[in-house]
Amino acid sequence: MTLDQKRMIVASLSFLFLAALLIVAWVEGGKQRLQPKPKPVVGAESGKCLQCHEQKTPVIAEQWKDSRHAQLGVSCYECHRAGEGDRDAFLHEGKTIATVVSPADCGSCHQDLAREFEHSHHSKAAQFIGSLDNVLGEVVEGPLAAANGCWQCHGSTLAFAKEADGSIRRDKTGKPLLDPMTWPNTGIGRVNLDGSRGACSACHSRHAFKKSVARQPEVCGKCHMGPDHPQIEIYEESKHGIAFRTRIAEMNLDSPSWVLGEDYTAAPTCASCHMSATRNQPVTHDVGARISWTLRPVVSKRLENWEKRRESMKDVCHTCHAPDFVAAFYTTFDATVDMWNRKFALPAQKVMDALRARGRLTPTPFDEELEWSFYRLWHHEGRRARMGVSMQGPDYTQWHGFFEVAERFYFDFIPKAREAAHGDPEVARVIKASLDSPEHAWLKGMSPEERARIDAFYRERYGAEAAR
Amino acid sequence: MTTAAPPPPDLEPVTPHGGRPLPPARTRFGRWLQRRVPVDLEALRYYSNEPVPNHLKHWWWCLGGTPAMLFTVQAATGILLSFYYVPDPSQAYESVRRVSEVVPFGWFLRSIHRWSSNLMIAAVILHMMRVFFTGAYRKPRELNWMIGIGLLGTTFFFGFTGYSLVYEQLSYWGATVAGNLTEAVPLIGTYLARLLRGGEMIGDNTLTRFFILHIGILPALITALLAGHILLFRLHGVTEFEFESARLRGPEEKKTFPFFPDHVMTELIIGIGLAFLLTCLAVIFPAGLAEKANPLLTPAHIKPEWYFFWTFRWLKLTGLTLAVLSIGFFGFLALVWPFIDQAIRRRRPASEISVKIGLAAVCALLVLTVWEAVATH
Amino acid sequence: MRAFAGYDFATGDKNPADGKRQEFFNFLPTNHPHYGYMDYEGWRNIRSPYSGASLYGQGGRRGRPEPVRAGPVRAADPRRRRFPPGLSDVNLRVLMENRRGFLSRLLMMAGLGSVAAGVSAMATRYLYPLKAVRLKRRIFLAPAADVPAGKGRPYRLPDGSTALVTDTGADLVALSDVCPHLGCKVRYEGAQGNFVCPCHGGLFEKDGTAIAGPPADEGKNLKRYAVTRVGENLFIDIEETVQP
Ligand code: FES
Repeated sequence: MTLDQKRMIVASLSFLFLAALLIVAWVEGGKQRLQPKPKPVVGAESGKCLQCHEQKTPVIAEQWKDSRHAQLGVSCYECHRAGEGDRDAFLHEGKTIATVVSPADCGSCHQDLAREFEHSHHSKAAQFIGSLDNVLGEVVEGPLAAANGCWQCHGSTLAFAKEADGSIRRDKTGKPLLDPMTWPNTGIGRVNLDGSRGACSACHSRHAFKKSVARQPEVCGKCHMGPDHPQIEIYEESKHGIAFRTRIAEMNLDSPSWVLGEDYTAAPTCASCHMSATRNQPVTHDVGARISWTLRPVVSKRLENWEKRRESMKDVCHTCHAPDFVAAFYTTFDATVDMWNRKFALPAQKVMDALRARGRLTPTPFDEELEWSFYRLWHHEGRRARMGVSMQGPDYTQWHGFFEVAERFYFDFIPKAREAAHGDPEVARVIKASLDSPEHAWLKGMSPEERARIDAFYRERYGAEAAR
Repeated sequence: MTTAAPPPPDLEPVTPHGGRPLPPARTRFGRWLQRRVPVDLEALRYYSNEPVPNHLKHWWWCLGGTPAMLFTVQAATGILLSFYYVPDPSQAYESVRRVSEVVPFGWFLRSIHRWSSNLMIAAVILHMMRVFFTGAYRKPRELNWMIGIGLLGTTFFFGFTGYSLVYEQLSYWGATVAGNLTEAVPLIGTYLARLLRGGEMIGDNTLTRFFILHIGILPALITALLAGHILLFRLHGVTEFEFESARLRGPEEKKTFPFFPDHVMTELIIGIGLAFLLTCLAVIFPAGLAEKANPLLTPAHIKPEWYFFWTFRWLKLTGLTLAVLSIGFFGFLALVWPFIDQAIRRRRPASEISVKIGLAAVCALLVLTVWEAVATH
Repeated sequence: MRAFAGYDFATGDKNPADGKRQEFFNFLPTNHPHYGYMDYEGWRNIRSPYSGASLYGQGGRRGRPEPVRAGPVRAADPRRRRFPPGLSDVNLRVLMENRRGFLSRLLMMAGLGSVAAGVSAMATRYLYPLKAVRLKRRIFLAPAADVPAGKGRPYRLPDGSTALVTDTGADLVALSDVCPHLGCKVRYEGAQGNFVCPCHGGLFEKDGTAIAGPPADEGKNLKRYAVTRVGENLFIDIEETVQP
């Protein structure tokens, strides 16, 4: 190879190299540079807390550093500080603090949210204590079932652990100890030692307090699930839930502002419809503010101010759906709830009332099988049917809902009621009247035309064999 | 521009200390410089321009220069990388991440550094194989072979300390395994391991030690060895080697070609070609960053860099002490191989046994490496 | 001074043996007749880029310009052979070879030079620090109840500076404690109800207005931070410089 050729090779290779360098520069130009994140600000009083707790509870410290609070300088002491006179205050390394941070503490900054929450149904969740459900949990099942079950969602009433002489039990540093039956607890209606109600961390899991966590359906699903109120399952079954699960990456869950139709359009979560901002209304922490029916009791009722509530929910619907669509949905939804009330709830209620009035049932709840049957009818199956239709879960409306309602009503509740009546004519009259409406007329047998129609249908769809 | 040229400042020949007078340079500046730097250019040209045997026109004869060039790349990129690297266990990983993700062109430099290290090791191995199979280590070049083995070891050590600095999982657990391996060396193992780690186990001192080794001690060592290697090689000249093809061409053809510019130009081609190759590799397969070192959790699948695969597999096959001892023994054999070879040839001058042994060793290493590469555990 | 560049191209004969003359034919190779052999041989079958510059200055003798040095003519002709004007293709063959050498050298130098320039540009970009980012943010200061009315209280900010927060009754004032004169730390004197700088006697009102001493002369007040009340707590707006 001549020198000249070599030089040409060097020249061409260096231009090739230069081209490669240009590509490098191009790659560099397209690189997304990490933006510097503001460092967590440790408040003047919290430096010492962190020194210890980074070692002892590293996860709490790390989660906090990852939080928005950390960026704002809201650190340990700012939330855990307590007044000298607070019931749960104790001296810890020279500072007066409290373990449990209550909505009153959070509300010192987040006043509006705290106020909304205070007015919400959520904050009263622990008031079920006097209800039938509580009897069931605490008495029929046992107190531990209530403490680890019911109260974990509804909220406990925080109390101190007591010594034998009735004084508050303290550890060797003088810290008052909480009654383990009541704490740890993040039930949404927790009654706190300062008298405030609720636990913000029920949804805003500490200590990172990510908005994204509170916006996920899962956070609601901790409690709103199961046989008696399967909201999360209904949601997952619905088109809304399917869209969410599929397009979760497009949900913009971490965005500071989260307006439906502006910051995200992929799907609605529980929060989207019940709490979050739309273009016309702000976010609310009064979680029932957009609910027009109460589907909880035996007989569903329209809530106070239901028209206004309905309008605000419709406003959410209208972000994605046309008015006719929404109106048609509400027409059948209302009619279905009415059907439940008329066809099953009211008659069953009347039968129960008659039995009680006639002394055919003891005053003690849940000591007779009929009471369990009735309870299942309205508290489990009836709610499933109503909630299923309210959130567009077809299977929960029908198979898990009205199908089971019907079976329970006709073949469990009514026979058991007849049994319990022991031939009491008054009760028998009420039962007969209950089944007298046209909705129950089918029990008396189908007309020949009706039977012929069903026959014809089967023949056409499944063939002559199946018609038999 | 010049009117009448002034008489030259002084045309007295410059005599370097204890040398012969130098012929005066042609220009005024040349003469000025010559007085300050009394170098005998003629002699310099003579030493640097030794004729190079024709067989160096074969590309694979240039493998010796390749690691040297890659070492230059390593030095340059390494110096640049050390501008941002923080040798502290709590910050090392973050600083590497910063270089890769924040500093402009940092990812590029890091990728070049990593690829170049891999290529360097490959080139050193290939160069060594070439020297071995052409018998270039034979008398009088035995010492240079030994220096070469030293260079090979240093390069491996470079690679090992280098990937320990990143402080990802492989770094940490690689260092752990290496430390415990060292401990298995009989008698001195424990002391050696403590010296290496700066303690009885991996701790705050370890990373600092690896860092100093990687950027201070090893570079100094490799520079000294390289200087000795090149010096000896210049003094002996390239091994004369005749190719079939050259013999056929007839005796009238020149057997050599000039080092400058011909051979330098060849090396330049290789150099630029390597730079191009490295850039492409860096762009297409940029150096990633695995999980941060976690002293509490050994990852399920951990493998060293490919050039340690054979040791890893050997270790699994033989057990700790035997592996350490045998590797040490093989290393010693490699070091004194020229003398062994000489002894064999004294007894059986026509023996080809050295080639066979070399082939066997290459095959063994290759099998171990491939085995480790395909094995899942 | 003259700079020039050009490219000479004259076609050749595809097949010299076929009897057809296809090359470029320079009818009169020079514009002067009777130079000898070169008058019969014109340009043909060449490709020749060239460039150069020449400089004419006052020679030794006054009034007569004389070429002093023709720079890249040398480059075009590494063997420093000057060609007379009017080139015959006999000489050109020699020249062409040298020009090829020149071309390859030029290309090589250009290539290596631009590579070196590119690499150094990258290295410089790598070493030169990125622009610092100014982050403005609002951070928690204290519960409002902690700032007693009428009294100043110092709060340490994350960047190490101190904010002196005073509830003046009408307003919440947060002031930097760095004296705008030469940077000493001012102190709150409760008795006088104002800030005093111990260095040169600067005096400031509770709201940071300079009233005496060098700061007042220069009309420089204490730097004020914006303080916002959120619920029962105070938040302060700070600006930090973050080096990425
Ligand atoms: S520095 Fe404060 S008055 Fe001079």
